[in-house]
Amino acid sequence: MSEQTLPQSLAESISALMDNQASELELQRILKVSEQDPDIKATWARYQMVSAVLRGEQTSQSTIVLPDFAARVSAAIAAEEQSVVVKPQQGWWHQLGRVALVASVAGGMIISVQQYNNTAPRGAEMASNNTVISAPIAPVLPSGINGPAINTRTVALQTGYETRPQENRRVMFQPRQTVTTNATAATAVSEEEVTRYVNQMIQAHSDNAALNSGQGVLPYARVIISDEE
Amino acid sequence: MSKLSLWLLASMLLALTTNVHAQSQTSSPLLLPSPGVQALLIKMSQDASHINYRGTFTYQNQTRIALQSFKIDHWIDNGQEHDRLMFLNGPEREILREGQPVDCNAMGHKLLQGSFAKIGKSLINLNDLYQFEIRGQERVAGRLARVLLVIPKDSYRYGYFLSIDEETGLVLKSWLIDENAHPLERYQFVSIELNPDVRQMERTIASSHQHKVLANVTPCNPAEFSKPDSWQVAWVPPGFEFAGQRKLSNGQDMLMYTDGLTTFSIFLEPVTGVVPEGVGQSGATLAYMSRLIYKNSTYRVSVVGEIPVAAATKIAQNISGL
Repeated sequence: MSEQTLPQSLAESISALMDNQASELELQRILKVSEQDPDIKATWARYQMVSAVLRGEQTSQSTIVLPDFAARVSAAIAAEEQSVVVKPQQGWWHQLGRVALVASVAGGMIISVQQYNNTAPRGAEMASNNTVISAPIAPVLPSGINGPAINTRTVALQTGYETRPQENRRVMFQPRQTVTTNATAATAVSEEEVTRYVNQMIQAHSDNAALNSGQGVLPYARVIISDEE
Repeated sequence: MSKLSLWLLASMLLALTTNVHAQSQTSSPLLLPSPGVQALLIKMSQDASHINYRGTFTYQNQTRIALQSFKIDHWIDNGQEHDRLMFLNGPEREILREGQPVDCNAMGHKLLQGSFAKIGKSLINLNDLYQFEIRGQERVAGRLARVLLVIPKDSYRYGYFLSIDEETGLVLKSWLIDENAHPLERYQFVSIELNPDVRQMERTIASSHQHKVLANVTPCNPAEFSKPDSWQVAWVPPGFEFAGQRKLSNGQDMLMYTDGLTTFSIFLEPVTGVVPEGVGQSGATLAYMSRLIYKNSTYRVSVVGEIPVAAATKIAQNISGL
């Protein structure tokens, strides 16, 4: 599997993991897939290498460190799950805990790479063409410090800062268990569709909530307005 | 740990973190008359829609950790409510809602006010669904608010911590809390200006990305409970009532339900081919997506709301055609 054939959703998930925005489901999925497919590992390593170059670090170290990254995260999560009995939907401090955990395991490797937030294919292309060096050096910022993009059209090209219009609208989706062996492909196709479908329903539902939950128009804060409308 | 002790723990934590003055209700009755819960709910449901205000609030939920800020304008003109909600983070956007008559009380308000219970039309009142507890005062957005702890009595809805402005009835702070006492989402006003210049608010230039939403999507002042026209919803959690229905522009049938504080909506549409089935989560809002086969046709059925997955699943499984 090369980057070109990497499913879009998986590329997005890896990209999300790069800047600490991956959901737990995504993390599990990446770990699972990367166990089976060395190319995913290689892609991850390449992203990290690009990230390191952008931060002005030595690339050779990055590539050496990374192959066992997934294994270390897996082990750390397994260890944590033994000590904390939690349900899949957790409070945000659990999420924060997870993110902090992953970040500490990675030893600071996961620092947001602004170039790749929503542009995994471009990132991959840059990496394979070795044009990384000419890319603008992005300042190293703590992950999550950047708010949502000012404009849904990417401004990363000019500034190198994070633009992640997709992040806010993302819906965590847990498909019903199926017996399909190659479920990844089916899920990949439908994830964007699910996000759009759910966000549309949440918008319509907010009309109901604004009238019938006694809190005025506050529920509209949940609505994701996309530029597609 | 039992659910009750979790709640106690949560309320203790809240008391620690939000400067709730845990004064007893009787310590200074003359200085601070403690309005009853019912009076507080009526105030929250009725008074806030009758005033003009401009405020800013923050919003945060479990899946989008980033704090978001909003500016809200609310004014009455010609007996109708106008709301403008401006997104202060990210792309410039605003939501405009106009044309809701101030004397229009939708089903949710009627339930919150206990209207049906009073006239003997409802066997269930809000006290059967939630345990309400006034937990003193706190200061939010520079204003005195009464803290209302709302604990669900079954597992089909979530709980709330509400801080309700003593003067205006505005909800100044609202936390939605799940069964493990984790906050699912939080709203909190930062500042409120009462009776601002309405003309100036009206003249505010609309955002380049203005999204108009409909008022009156559910009927005003319902006097009776009703049911959807073309779908049978055989089970909803106790206390939820049908609030109204719409046909959306994309062809979906939308059915709306409320118990007074919590809402969910059901979406139905005929579909061909494969539909994704499963559970979607965005912030506090859950979408349970499934399929219904009725009279040889397949329909996509989704239950969307700030409700636990068990409730959404059971609702979806009990829907059929008429």
